[in-house]
Amino acid sequence: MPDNATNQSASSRLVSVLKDIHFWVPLAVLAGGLLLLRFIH
Amino acid sequence: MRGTVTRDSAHETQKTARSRSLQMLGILCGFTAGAWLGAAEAPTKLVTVGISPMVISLIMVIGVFLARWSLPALAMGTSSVRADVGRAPHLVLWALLAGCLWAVANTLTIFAIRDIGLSIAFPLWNSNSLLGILWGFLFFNELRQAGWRRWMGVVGGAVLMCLGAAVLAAASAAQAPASAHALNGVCAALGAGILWGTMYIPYRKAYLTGMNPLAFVTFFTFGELGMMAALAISYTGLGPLWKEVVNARALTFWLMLGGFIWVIGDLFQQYAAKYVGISRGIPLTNTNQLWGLLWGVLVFGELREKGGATHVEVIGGSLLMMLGVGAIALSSATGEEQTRWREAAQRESVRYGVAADYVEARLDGRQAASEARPRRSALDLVGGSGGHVDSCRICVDCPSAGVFVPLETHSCFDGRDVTSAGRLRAAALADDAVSLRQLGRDPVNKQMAKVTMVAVAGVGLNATDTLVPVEHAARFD
Repeated sequence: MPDNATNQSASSRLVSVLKDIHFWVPLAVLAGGLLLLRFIH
Repeated sequence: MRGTVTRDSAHETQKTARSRSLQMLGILCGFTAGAWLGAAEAPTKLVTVGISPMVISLIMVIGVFLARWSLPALAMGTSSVRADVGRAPHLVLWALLAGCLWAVANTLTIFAIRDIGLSIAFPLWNSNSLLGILWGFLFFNELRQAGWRRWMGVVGGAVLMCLGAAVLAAASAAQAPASAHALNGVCAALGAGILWGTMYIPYRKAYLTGMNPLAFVTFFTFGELGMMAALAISYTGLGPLWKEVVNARALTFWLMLGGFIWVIGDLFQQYAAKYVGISRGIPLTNTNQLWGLLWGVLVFGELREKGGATHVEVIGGSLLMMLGVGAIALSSATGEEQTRWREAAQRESVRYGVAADYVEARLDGRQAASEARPRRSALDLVGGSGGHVDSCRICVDCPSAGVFVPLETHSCFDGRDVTSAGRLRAAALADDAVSLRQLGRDPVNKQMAKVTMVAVAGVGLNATDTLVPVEHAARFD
């Protein structure tokens, strides 16, 4: 039972992360940075 | 009834006084971070030493990794780090993301310096403060209901600092290398600024949720080392990279020490982001350019042969930067703005199910009633002292013929001097800042305080601030 609760809480936390713009903005900037690095190298 | 009103009023007064003290602590941390980071990056002349910048960066990041695992363990114990992460495990993801952002930005600065020179690249990536203000406003309610005077203070101050940085860059533009890839260099510098400005989103998110900066950096460093290793391997190849690392073994200790010292400045930067937010914290830590200039002029004798016009530009640019810093430092957050910060913190608490009392307490710079006091086990001391091999070595192998004294390094390790004593008193205002005091009390650090002459020159790449012994520096000139 506690395992189920833990899993549920972990999955709901993951959903919250994926819905969070604070996660996507840095991720997009990181992807842009890697592309820029590839371009100028 | 009257008693209740009096108690409430006293509580409110105490809260306001504490909030003011934390703001002041945050500003002091911002200045201190700038001084440390500037001290580490000042000597930039050795950027062309015969070792690949990627290797220099990688070895330094290994030193950073060791420091970031040992300092938190010594200061607050691994049990506190575990407890912090247990309360908000989602933040580990942001810590890793921030570490990756740092590593990519740092690598971009290497290319920027190569193509347009540090004097132009530096102010370009220091424009990250303007982006930090934007993210702080958009995502964390910073500068909301702050009033036009504070808006003017923060935004105007950041713009003044950028202008000052540009004037300083113009003053030393003649030293910039001629390059056919100038556009690439400008893109790399601006890209680094965008990455570093965005890196503060995870910082602020973590600190609004209540995570201790020492716990955050413990995981940040995995992203940092992982990304840096991936970049170094992909751009150099595993075999050649290993060869270069082996060739650079004479400098390994000094490179890792550079990383270790940089971590101290970074920790102050983290506390600044926590207590004054990113819109004010980033510009304050960007004062590292002024410290870098001081090192260049006083230690390396830069500008000695320059004319009066250059001196006027340098003095004018520095004054502009100082005016900007002053404007930001005097624009601390009002009660209304801090209420909006609390709303942003509550939003995080609800979204990720973090206990509200914990978030509230950490925002006030104290521990929640449900929290255990930080405890250190024997394992922490073993791990911590392992990471302090660097600090021990500096005491044993300190070169006898000092060329210059890294004053900031000395003063910050020395808990007895006026500056540090004041800083530690300020730190004592917040329970959360206990970690800062503990760093100063650490026996190894006290031992380091006795070292008055540390003969090192440096390879500065902003955060890649690498210190190498002067005898090696001379060899590579």
